[in-house]
Amino acid sequence: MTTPGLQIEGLTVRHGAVTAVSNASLSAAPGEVTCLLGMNGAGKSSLLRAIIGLAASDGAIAVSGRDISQMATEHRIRAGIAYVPEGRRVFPGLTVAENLLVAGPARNADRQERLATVFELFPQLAQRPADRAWQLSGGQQQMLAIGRALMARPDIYLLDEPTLGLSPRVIDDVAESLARLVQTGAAVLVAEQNAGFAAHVADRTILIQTGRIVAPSGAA
Amino acid sequence: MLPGLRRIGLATAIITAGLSLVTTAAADSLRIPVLVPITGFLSLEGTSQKNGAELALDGSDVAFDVADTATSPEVAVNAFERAMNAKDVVSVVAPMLGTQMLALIPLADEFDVPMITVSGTARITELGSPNVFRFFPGDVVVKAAHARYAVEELGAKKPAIISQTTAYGQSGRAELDRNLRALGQPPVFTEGLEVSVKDMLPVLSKVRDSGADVLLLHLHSGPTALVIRQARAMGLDIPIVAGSAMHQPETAALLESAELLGGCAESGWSPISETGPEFRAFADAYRKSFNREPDAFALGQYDGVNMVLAAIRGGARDAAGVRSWLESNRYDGLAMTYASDGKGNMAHSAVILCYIGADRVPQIVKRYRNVTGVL
Amino acid sequence: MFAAQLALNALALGSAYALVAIGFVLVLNATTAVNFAHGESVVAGGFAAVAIAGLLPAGIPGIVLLPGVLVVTALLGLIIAGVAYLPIRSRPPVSVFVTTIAFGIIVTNGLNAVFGAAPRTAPALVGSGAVEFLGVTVSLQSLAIIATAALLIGALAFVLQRTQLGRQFRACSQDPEMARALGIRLVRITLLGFALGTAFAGAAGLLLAHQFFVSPSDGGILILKAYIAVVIGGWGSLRGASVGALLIAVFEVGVASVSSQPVAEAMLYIAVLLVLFVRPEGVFGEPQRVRA
Repeated sequence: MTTPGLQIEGLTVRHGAVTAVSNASLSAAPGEVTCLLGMNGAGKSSLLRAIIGLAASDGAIAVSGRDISQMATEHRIRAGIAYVPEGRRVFPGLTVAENLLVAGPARNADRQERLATVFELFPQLAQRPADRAWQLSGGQQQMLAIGRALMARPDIYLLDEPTLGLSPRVIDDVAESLARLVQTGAAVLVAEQNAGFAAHVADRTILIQTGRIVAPSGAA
Repeated sequence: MLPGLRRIGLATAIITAGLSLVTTAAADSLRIPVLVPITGFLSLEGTSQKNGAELALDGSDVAFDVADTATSPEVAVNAFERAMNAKDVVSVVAPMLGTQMLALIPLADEFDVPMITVSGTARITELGSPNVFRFFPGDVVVKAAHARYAVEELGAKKPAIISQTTAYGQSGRAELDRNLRALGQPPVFTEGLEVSVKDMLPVLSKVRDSGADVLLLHLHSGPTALVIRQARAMGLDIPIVAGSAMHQPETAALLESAELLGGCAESGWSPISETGPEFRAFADAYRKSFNREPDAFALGQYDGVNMVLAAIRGGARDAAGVRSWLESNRYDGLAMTYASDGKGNMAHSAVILCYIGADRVPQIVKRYRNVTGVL
Repeated sequence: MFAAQLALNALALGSAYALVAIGFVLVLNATTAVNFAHGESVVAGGFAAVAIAGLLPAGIPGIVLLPGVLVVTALLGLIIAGVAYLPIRSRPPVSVFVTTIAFGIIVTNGLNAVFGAAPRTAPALVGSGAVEFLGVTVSLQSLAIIATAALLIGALAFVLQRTQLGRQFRACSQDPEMARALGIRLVRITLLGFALGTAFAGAAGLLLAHQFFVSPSDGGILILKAYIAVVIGGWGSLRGASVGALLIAVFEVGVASVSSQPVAEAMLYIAVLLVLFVRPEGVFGEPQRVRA
């Protein structure tokens, strides 16, 4: 029987001579928000980047029981992962609609259908589909980045510090967005240093410190 | 000794003996490196130089290598220095690009090796070097013919000049200007163009506005054809007398027959315009070897190399001997009689060609023999 | 009337230069790489036109050669990508400078060996004649150059703005790592950039080859024009590249007609320096790009 959600076993990430993550094991179950909580430099971003394939790593990574650790990034996306990076990283010169469409599936009809869904979930984005992304506020860009992840309809969402630099009111909007992601039945893994936010949204919290999972022990 | 080893030893001895024979043969033969621009904006003319030199050297006992000097002085200098590593270099076929020649002259003096070239840049024989021998009439000769034809034959009263901004262009323009003034018809308009200029409308419109009655060009192949084409397209119908680039078949090939008709050019010679048997033999041999028509640069270089070969036959066995022979002897080449004026200018005659027939072969309409009075 | 004539000439020349500059930017945007073989790609397009015309009956209009030229030069672009870029793309940018310069030299010398050193001309696009319009002599070739360039640029704009592939291309140009994180295949985008960019260069070669001839050694000056256009217009901006290219033509044709060609060229370079001092990102400078 395949294990749903995300499974990480013995993951180690090195950047040259520096070990950013050492022997990390964790899991994120469908329908839950799992929060990876740690200070700056704890290894949260490195871990997420390794899952998506943007950083080299050793160890096992499985999505819905399927080993993706040897796959290139584009194949990991197809296996059902979407990534919302730290700093949003929307495409500044593309419009709101284009930022969403570019993350969509191959068929145009499917893309348009998902675009409509995202606009329903995020009315702020629906109001300005032709605006360039650089014209949006930080909070709106975060909505756009989350909406972009939604376009892929993945099984796993990875979000890296989605509240960074946002005002409290906007942070509430982000929390609401995470709830919507969970409602799709996906597993949501959020890396955060904001303990208050983690306490508010997480169903499970995992602590990471200097590249090691410290609590709960045996987090996988 | 084991049979296998014996065979290896014998083979080694044979090979070594053979190599030493080859080496000895190479050491005995004299050498003329051919350093010419085969790539870059002067590659058309440089290839003509190469072909003329090769045609003369093929079948002789003189060894030669061809090296590309491209367009920059540094490349030419490097090629020259590499060529001097070989033994028994008695002469060098040097690039016709003026800026490269000017860079090579000090080196030629340092190594004391005579250079034979078809460069038209006047300055190369004005620096006092004993090692430059120019086998193409210099600007002093061809530009005199150019200016005289415009004034004496076409009746120019308001000539205009368009020249290239290269050393070749500046040298030619200065001579044209001097000759026109000496004939009492100073130019009413003069402008220099970069080799890369494509649209000639700005400069041609200024020619038209100047009221010029004859246009004299001193440009390379492509720009010459561009000016003629665009002048005709804009309805500028004054006579155009171009520089030697226009005599080249490759330049004529760029233009429609209607655009060519009536156009004239100066040159040292035009092999394809001549009908004598010796010219036909030369042209046939050239076509067979290189699959293209010969031009005056090829012929000039051919004559120049042949004069060096004549020097060798006359007893010259080193660079000093060749230089001395070139300085003090006349040579009846295919194009003309060559003799040094004391500065290394060997060719003293020029012709004016015009495209007056439907067959796209220019006709020689005027000969200017012994312009400098040296012969 | 004469001013109108000059304007038309500048527009025709600028249109061809715009194709060169746009092609340069397409590669730049797909890869951040400066393709120093780009000028030689223009020359290759011109010679492709000469070669294909030689296989067809005489008198064929040059526009018929366009599809063949686009295919040949697109293939050349794929070869440049495969040989001079992809194997060394993770090395410092100077490595790509060296490999593309070397590739350009190989193309120049190859064309020299095959076609010879002489300038060549390709057939006129639609005909060599001219029409009189409001006192201005309008050459058919100039009109055809403008129309062909406009058509190609319009088609490119459609692809980039209205298709998923175009969106992916633009996303890669702005943040290749994030594009990768969305599942976009960077190698595919790279190959597309090189193929399209080199095809545009080849098209410019066809457009220039009749009126202005083509020689194997023309590549060096063309890459310089592309570079200047991009510096003026904005590094990475397609619109800026077009504007920069038109400006170069305005200097070469317009400014040269009231001063002289050397003065016009000097003034162009002064304009480039002014842009670098006053607005270094260029007139239409794009938002900052994130390197992969």
